[in-house]
Amino acid sequence: MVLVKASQFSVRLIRMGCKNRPFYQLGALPTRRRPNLLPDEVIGNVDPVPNHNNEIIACVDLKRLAYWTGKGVKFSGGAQSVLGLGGWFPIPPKTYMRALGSREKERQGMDTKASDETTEDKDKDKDEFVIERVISKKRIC
Amino acid sequence: MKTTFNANMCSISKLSHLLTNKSVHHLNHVFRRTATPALNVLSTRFSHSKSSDDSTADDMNAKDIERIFLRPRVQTLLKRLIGFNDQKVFEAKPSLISKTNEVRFMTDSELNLMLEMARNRAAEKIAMPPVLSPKDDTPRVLATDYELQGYIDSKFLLVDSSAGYSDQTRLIVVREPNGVLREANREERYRMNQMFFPKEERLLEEPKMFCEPNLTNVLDRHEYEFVLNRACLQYEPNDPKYIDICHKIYEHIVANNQFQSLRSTRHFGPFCYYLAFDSRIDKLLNDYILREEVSDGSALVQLYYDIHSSDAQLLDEIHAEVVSDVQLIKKYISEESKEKSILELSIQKYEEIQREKAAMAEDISRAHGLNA
Repeated sequence: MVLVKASQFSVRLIRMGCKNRPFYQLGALPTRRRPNLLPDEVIGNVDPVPNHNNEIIACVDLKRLAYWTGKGVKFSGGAQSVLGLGGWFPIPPKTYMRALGSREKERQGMDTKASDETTEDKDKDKDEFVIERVISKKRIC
Repeated sequence: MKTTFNANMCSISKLSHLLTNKSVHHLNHVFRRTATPALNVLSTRFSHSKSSDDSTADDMNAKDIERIFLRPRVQTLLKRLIGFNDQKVFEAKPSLISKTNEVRFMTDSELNLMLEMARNRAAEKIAMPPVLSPKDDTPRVLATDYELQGYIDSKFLLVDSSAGYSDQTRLIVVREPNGVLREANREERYRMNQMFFPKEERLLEEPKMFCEPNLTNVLDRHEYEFVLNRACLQYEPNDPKYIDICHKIYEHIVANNQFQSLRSTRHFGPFCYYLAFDSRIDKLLNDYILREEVSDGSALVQLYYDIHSSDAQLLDEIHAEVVSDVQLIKKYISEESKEKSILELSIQKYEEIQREKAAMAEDISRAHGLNA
């Protein structure tokens, strides 16, 4: 195995936004700096909360990303995951594993549901004015 | 990149007991590859390969609309039909910025310069929005990673904000929840461009003015130019919604005989083109004859013949301007028109009026003793 020096510079997601409402900037900054400081260069941003059309939107300057990739920077797990989804990187193994895990969970959940078979339709009819929003526990990064 | 993936390989081996042999093997295989998805994405950007054209009847017609609109002859006729009423073109429009009129003393050369600048501004105001056929919207699939199913429930959109790309060429990709990576369709592309590279006064969602009760309300008030300007601002010319709105407005104008509302505006050209392409110029022609604007009427008939006629001799005669206005209109009425009776009546009335005017002018000149 080849020993490669860990790069001094990172491209990683910097958590901004408010309490219970994250918003990530994709930025290039020295690795050693404490997390969530404003980066030396902002390359893009990711809004992890889906919008009204159920879309998670990321805006990334791919030319600058190509520059930093060429420099040999270290990418954080979250950055890899987001960029893998976007098609810039191969999809990282954690993403595949999480996908597999959630598929397994759903399958198990469906099995238990089939065995129980309790109908809770009455409760659903009561809440007529609930704003339908996709609140998923699945996180993008 | 190699540094980070080595670290991940270690973590894979630790957790590999959780996975089947097949998936571990697959993951190892994935990371033995170099960044081919990235290269794919880059290569798709740099090769602007257009999808193959299927030649169906509808497609040929769609191309014809665009092609014929761009013909120089058609363009000159449409410009002639728009006309130039300088009072209407330079009309004071409601605006938040109040301008006071300025009075200046100028030399002749300065005045000529000012007039030329005014003419250039007028040309901009009169420049027609292009008539295009609705653009086909089949997004290309870039990658399929079906193992991603279950990772997220929402679509993931990646917008490339690099400099130097236009709204049409910008890279916008969508990762569906089932793992397919595809290019954005028209609606997504429009929204993302407006979100990150907003055009002034464009709305992200569709303006309520173009939805049904409001649109008929506005059109019933005959505010056609206002709606058309807003539509031009909001949509691209090859957007099916824009084309749909324009057609609705044109139909409303024809149904209500409000042909004069768009004269001297930039929208009149596409309106005449729409009528001529569908062979429905009769009502407008009637309007022209009743207003005694026979030269404009003949321009409309020439437009019709330029689009539809394959008679080379006729076209040569028209282009050489050998045929007189009334003669051409009469030819159209007798051969091609659908509302023959109304048009024949109108042209008869017109000719009567012209004869009476000529007779009156002759009488007057005789009374003045000018007739030798």
